[in-house]
Amino acid sequence: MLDRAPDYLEPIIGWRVWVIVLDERGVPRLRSVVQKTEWPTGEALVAECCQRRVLAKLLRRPQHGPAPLRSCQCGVYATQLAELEPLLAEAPWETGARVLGRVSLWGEVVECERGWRASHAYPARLYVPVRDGRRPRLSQEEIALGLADYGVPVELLPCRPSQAVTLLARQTVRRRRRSNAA
Amino acid sequence: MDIGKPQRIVRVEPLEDPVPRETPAPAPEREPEKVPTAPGRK
Repeated sequence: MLDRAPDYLEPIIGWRVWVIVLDERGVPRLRSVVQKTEWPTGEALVAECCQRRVLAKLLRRPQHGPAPLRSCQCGVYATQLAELEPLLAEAPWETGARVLGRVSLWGEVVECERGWRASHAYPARLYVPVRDGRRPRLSQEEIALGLADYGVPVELLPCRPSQAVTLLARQTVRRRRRSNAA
Repeated sequence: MDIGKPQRIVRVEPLEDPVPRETPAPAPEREPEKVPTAPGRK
């Protein structure tokens, strides 16, 4: 952490996609799509630089300090809702079940053109679409029940992942109209 | 996930913890201890 006053006193809220995996007890858990990082329940996910860890070992150089570094690509990623569409598109190959949601970001945060890379993150709200992946062999409700361990609201979506962005965008517009009318 | 080029680094220190912490379950009520009585006594 840099020794300076904070810029924000509330977490930045972004959007993410996760893949569902089962932990050692067979309970559904969130895993990052690109990195094989399982998100813990009840504690923040703290970023570490995986790219530099391998490179530093090969070159016998020390790793850089805490993630994220502006010049690196490390950190916990999040973006805007509309940017998630490619990650939720129907895949021609077998995929794991995917969920999406809002995520709180804090600590050191690199603001980018279309999203953020943060040192600390935790899910803020989870949306479970009708499953399209074969793994794990759990129903939409069973996945949602397991994800309740994260202690944040979990909502079932009446659509497949590829339609989730459109549905949630419509919900957001409706909510804004209602709050403007009130 | 392509989030584009970095613009700036900000420091975010939420006043409230974004991680919902489990509240400890209330301790079970203790049953009153039974005082053993000597045999033959009332």
